[in-house]
Amino acid sequence: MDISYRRLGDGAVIFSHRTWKTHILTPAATLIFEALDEVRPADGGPVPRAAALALLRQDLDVETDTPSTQQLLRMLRRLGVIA
Amino acid sequence: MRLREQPLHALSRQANRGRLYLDQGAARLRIRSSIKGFIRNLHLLYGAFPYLQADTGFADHHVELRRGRRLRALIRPQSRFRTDGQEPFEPFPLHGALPLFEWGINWSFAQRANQYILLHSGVLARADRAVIMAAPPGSGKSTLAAAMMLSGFRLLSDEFGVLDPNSGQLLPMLKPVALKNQSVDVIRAFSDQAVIGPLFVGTRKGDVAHLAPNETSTDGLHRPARPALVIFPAFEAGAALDCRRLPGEDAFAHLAFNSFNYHLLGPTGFHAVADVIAACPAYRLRFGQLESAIEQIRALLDEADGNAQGAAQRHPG
Amino acid sequence: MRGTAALPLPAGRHLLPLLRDPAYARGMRLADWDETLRLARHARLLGQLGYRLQADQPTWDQIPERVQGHLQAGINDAAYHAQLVRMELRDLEQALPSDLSVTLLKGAAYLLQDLPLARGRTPNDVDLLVRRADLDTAEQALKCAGWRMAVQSAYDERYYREWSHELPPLRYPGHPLEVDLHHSITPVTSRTRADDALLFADLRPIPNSRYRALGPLDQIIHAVIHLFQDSELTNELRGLVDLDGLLRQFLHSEQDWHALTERARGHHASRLLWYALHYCCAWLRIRLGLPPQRSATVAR
Repeated sequence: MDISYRRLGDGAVIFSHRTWKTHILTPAATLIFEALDEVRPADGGPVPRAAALALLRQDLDVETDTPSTQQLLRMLRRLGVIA
Repeated sequence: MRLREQPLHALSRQANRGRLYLDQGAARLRIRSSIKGFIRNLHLLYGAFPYLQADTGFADHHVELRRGRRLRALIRPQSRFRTDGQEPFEPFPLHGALPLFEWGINWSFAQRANQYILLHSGVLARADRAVIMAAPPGSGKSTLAAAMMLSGFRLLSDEFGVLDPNSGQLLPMLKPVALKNQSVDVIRAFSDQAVIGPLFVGTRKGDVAHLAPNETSTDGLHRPARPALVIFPAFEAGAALDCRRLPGEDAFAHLAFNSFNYHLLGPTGFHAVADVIAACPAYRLRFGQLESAIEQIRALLDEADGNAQGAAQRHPG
Repeated sequence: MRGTAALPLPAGRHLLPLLRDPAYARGMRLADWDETLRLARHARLLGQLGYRLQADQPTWDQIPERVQGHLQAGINDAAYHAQLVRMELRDLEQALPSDLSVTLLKGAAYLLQDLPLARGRTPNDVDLLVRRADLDTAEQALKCAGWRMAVQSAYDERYYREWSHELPPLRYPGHPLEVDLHHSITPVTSRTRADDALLFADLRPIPNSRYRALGPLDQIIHAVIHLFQDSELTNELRGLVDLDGLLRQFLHSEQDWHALTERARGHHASRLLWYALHYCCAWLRIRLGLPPQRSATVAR
């Protein structure tokens, strides 16, 4: 995963070294990102999709099929955070 | 010695020979021009700037302001701007050489100075603690910057927030403040200390007049300032003062995506802007009156300084 | 040959020695940099110059801060352009059929092969080479994926197709870089005709990439041919710097130099090679590893 992550208050920003794109994370997205980041495999690879969805639903109590969550998940997949 | 202490004819002679040097802080210019009216305006608006006697033989930008030479130039005299063989703008009327020069410098600087992150913002400082004021045109940013300078802040820049990614500091890129339309009279009324150049009517940005940087500002040409506060000003006639803290990620997006070269600098730009936002509280400031806006900015700066000191005490060293 | 082929610009007084040896910068005064930076920028060599100087820390530390700023700006600008090329190549990879053999030329090839000469170099477009028989397939694939020809008139397009070794430049709407699709390394109009059979027989895979590169000797020959297609002096200087970098990269022994002259003969480019080496030697003082009698000829 080739990104730089900076927490800014409750929100955060991510820079992708592959695309040079900057992604803005709202406080909710920041919580999700940090929770996923914590359970990433030791080799730095992505979190398996099923595990990611389970974490969101059970631990964070997030609805995973809303458009905004779906959008966030697509972004995290492109960034290599989840598989 | 300041530029204005030099007789006008001496400056004209130097400009004629292409040996007039001008130090704007982040950029040093070498100017060639035979347009007398332009040199007169320069003498007034850059009057407090240091006069560079010693010819170091080095300039960051070589610029030329010359009269148009084509047939139509006889009927309607023109001025043209050139830098290193490039002419980025159509000719202006001859008397508009100064605004043409100012836009030309902005253009060259924005093209080239990619060693810095060029924020689209005004920068002012109190005791070398910088206020970054970022906003789109028409938001009253220049007017507020002008009024702040006339109220004791040091002006670093009206157009470019020149952020050095190595030091995290802002460098002066000092030029006259371009005041548009009603702002000219507003600033004239705001302070009798304001030195304002001639009004250029009907330019592509409306009527424009320039406020000369004062000595406090020109004396700090090579003194950087550390970012302390980010303000997104929005002028609204008759509006009551309204100041709201912006979330960090929003402030980041506004600052980064309005910068001239954020996209070009990749990871360097990302970390430099994130450092600014991590260090500075950011506010959206709606104002209808200059005095109260400046008072509010002073209070926010006090608070930011207090927090910074508090943080330093909590984490000594 | 010392002094016989000096760059006919006073500023070349410092730029050429700097390109030969970064340590030359230690003896330069601030005023010497003025014209030198302007010429380097004009020749699009600011990034390369900056990169070489920065790699030599003791020298870099002695360069005036203002000058360092200009050089750093050149380095940053080059890094951005390199990123644009990488992005364009990734997008092209999605569009091109995976079984189609596509070869990168010049800047993009130097970049993906990670050649030292690519560091600080500012590529301006993406050049792809395919076999003539694959040209239609490649063109259709790119057009299907959204790339468009930048040329307006049918006349211009016919000129390109009939007389050139490339199609009119293609551009994906909104992308900053153009893509040139070539089927040879010499224009049809050129007196020099590279041997396509020879060229395509020696393609090399680029590690970790779907693209290929020309064989090392052909990369050199291509740089030579390209050098004489451009009529602007400052572009030629950049071309020479490329050539110099390739020679230093790929030629290590007398045998290598022999192989190069043989290869040039095969591509009917012996004269061009001779001229190119002449200027490389005069301007950049590359040490020619030719047999004694031959280097005497070149150096005369």
